[in-house]
This record gives sequence, C-alpha cells and structure tokens, in this order.
Amino acid sequence: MDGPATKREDGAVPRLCLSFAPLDGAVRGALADIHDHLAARTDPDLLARVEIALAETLNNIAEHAYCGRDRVAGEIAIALHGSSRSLDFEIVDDGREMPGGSPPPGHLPQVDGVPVDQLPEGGFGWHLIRRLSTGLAYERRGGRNHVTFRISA
Amino acid sequence: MNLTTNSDGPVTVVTVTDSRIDAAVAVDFKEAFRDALDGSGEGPVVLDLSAVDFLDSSGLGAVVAARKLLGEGRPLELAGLSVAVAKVMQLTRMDRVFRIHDSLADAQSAHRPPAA
Repeated sequence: MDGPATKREDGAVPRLCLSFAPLDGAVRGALADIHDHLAARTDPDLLARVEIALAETLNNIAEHAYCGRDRVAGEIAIALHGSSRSLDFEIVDDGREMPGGSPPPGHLPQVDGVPVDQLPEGGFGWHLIRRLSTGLAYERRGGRNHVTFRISA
Repeated sequence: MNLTTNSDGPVTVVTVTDSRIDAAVAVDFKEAFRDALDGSGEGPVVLDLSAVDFLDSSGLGAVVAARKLLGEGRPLELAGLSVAVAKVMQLTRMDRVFRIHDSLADAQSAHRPPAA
C-alpha cells in the first residue's frame, strides 16, 4: 500500500492551511512547509512552478500590501488542495487593497538587445505569476485580499 | 550571504553557498558579489549556482545588478541551474542575457584555451 510519502499518478494532495506574518523569514518558512508537503507528491517541475508563483505572490503582499504598516501584526493565510497534476491556491491577507482592484497585467520588461547598464532589475513578479498559473482572480472581501489561482503540471 | 571566489584559470568563479537567493538576501547578495570580485582582475566571471535551489524575482534582480557591476566588456555567465532557477531565467528571457552552462565543469572547459 502506498504510504503518504509515495508519489502516485493523479494522487490527491491533502489540504494544507498555513498562516504567518508578512516577514521575510516567515515567508521562507511557509514556502519550506509547502515544499515539504508537496515534494513527495508532485514532480520537480510542478513543484518549481508552485514555489516561484507563491514566492512572487507573497513577496508582492509583504512589499506592497503591508507597505508602511506593522508587519508583525499582519497575517497572510494560504490554503492549497488538489492533486499531483493540478493544485488550487487561495492566498488571503489583511493588508491594503490592491490598487485598481485587480492584479497588474505583468508585462515582461524588455530584455532582448538591451544595453547591460539598462537591464531591468525588477518588474518580473506578476509576469511570472501569470505565466505559471491559470484562473488568476482577485477579490477584496471583509477587509481582506483574496488571490486565487491554479497551477497545473 | 557567503560567496567564495576562485580566480585560478581563465575565468573567475564566484560560488554561492546559500541554497536560496530571494527577497530576504537580495541586497546581501549584491554586496557580497561586489566584495567577492574585489581585485579579481579581468576576464569572464562564472557564477556557480550549483548549491542554489531557488531564486525569486528579487534574487534575479540582484544577479542582474551583479551583471551591471561588471560592465559591458566583462561577461557574467551562470552555471549549475536548478529546475526552479532555470525556469525563472527562461520565463523572464534572461536566458538570452546570460550564457548558461549545465555545470561549473562545462563553464570552465568552455573557456579553456585549446591544447597546443
């Protein structure tokens, strides 16, 4: 019989819920917990997609939603469920509302043929999230931001 | 953030020993890279990422800043990318900005002068 650490085709991934403060160390800890939860149940490519999309989402929240606020008092919550082929994420925070009420379009900054001293050092986050996920949605509800997306193999 | 530098041979190798270059350490990485390159002379620099599991867009920005520090005439090449690091490079098209080697050994042999 398959144990919990055995990878199975289309196997269910148990629901995982985490909450933590929007601080660099806590974000790292949450990503590590999610990595551990998924590592034996998903292939390395899906795991990499999850980790990148979540890291960018959480960095944006920590940097922008809590800009000028007491981060220690803030709370980000993540819920994930799905299968080894497709995972659904909901990320909730009690920071400030997303400007314009929707996620930025995330256009990739120009890179090809750009002189070295003008290469972009930022502006990649939403591009990565949008390229790695499907069904990206945002809602402001009950004073909280709710971001949902799906990441598929 | 600990970086080690080895300037023996045709390239300067800067090795990252941490497993992550992310928002928490991006600023540290830039400073450590500047220190690591101090007095390393000329010629290409290979950033050995074999120990790095994960790089986010903040970490990517720090690697781009490192590239700028070297200037147009001194290339920065990358070696030993994990699945996640390679994916970030590909999705941001930075794989067109940086020459990427499968391993540090590949990077070094690419720069070794042909045998006489």
